[in-house]
Amino acid sequence: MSAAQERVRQSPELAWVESEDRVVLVRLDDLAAEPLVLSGSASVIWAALAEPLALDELVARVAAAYDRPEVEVADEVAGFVEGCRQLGIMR
Amino acid sequence: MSDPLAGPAAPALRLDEAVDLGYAVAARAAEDVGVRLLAIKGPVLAMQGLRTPSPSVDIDVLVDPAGFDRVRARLEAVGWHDDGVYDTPGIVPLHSVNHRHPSWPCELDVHHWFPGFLADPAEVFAVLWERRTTAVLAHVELGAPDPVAHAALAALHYLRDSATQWGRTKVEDLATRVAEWDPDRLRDLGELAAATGAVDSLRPFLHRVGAPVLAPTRPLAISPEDWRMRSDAETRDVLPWLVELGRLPWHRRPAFLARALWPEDRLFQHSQARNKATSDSRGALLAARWQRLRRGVRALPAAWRDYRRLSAKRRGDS
Repeated sequence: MSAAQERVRQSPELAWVESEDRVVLVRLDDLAAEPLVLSGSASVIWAALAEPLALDELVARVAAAYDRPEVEVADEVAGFVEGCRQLGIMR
Repeated sequence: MSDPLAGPAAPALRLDEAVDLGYAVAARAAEDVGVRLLAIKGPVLAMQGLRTPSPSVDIDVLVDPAGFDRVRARLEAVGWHDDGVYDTPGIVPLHSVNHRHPSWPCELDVHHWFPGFLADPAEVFAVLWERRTTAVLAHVELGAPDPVAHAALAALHYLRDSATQWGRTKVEDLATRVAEWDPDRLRDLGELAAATGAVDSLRPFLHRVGAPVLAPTRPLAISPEDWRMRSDAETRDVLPWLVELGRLPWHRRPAFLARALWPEDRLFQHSQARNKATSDSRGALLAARWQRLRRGVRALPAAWRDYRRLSAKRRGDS
């Protein structure tokens, strides 16, 4: 399976709330960690991951949401996912 | 797309976000140390249709009394500190502690029993746990009292202040909702009261909603007289000090009076921290002391009349 087909998912070890302008997350496997705020396109990506998606599917959804070619957002989405994995909020 | 990931941003945590997230944090903290916890009041009560949805200002949880200290220690370990001052008197025994986190805009109240449930707190918790349900807050499933038990708990919360307009309004709103329950559910409410030492404390509510008032099925472990005095009290500020003074043997009263008039600094430091006061200088502490004394002197006549009335009523009841 290529990296683009590997499924990206929200960590199950989270509590999170969403509002119109942002998503706030708390890691339940690290209660001492500060809450994280996702806003703008980050919250769009988070909402898209209500179900696990392959990275290329996620890129397609974000590109559609912003009406831009997939190639233009692919690196940013991949970088975001990698950052979220390092923070423990995505798998 | 702009920078998609905003980093740690706890200072901007809003109250409505914090309350829902905080319930999940408390539940996980208890789970981490193997202690049973029920999410009570606030948003859970609203989700169960027992109150109108409205913003909550703190997080309330009830824990198995046997694990109370373990939960507190776990919360401390993850930054939720209990810096409360608990040596000021209360008419009913201490029932909860307040943990606060510097980055969170709400308090976390951890209860080890709930006033009005006057049977042994461990047995009461076991009854509530046995019939628990779940509620989802912040996408996390939490244990919570079932609606019947939660209605009883909420009623006790309001009845504790039934001499106030706030208490009367809240209990009437709850009663209006509960009175529509079917007879089986109302019978269940009566049986729950009997099983938790709450027959007397819930009696006005049971009458109001048409639930049966049944014979207690568990002995009381906590004084019903304290509950009656608390729920009948019309004043708040000075009365607990008068009640405690009356309870003490004569030889301990001078020291108690001294403490009432001139409490330790940390009482004021705690209040200032709660109110986000910017100065904790000696001058600010002294000013807070004088304000408190002035409030106390102003409140004393009404509190004294209340105390005399409640004491006479207590003698009449016994």
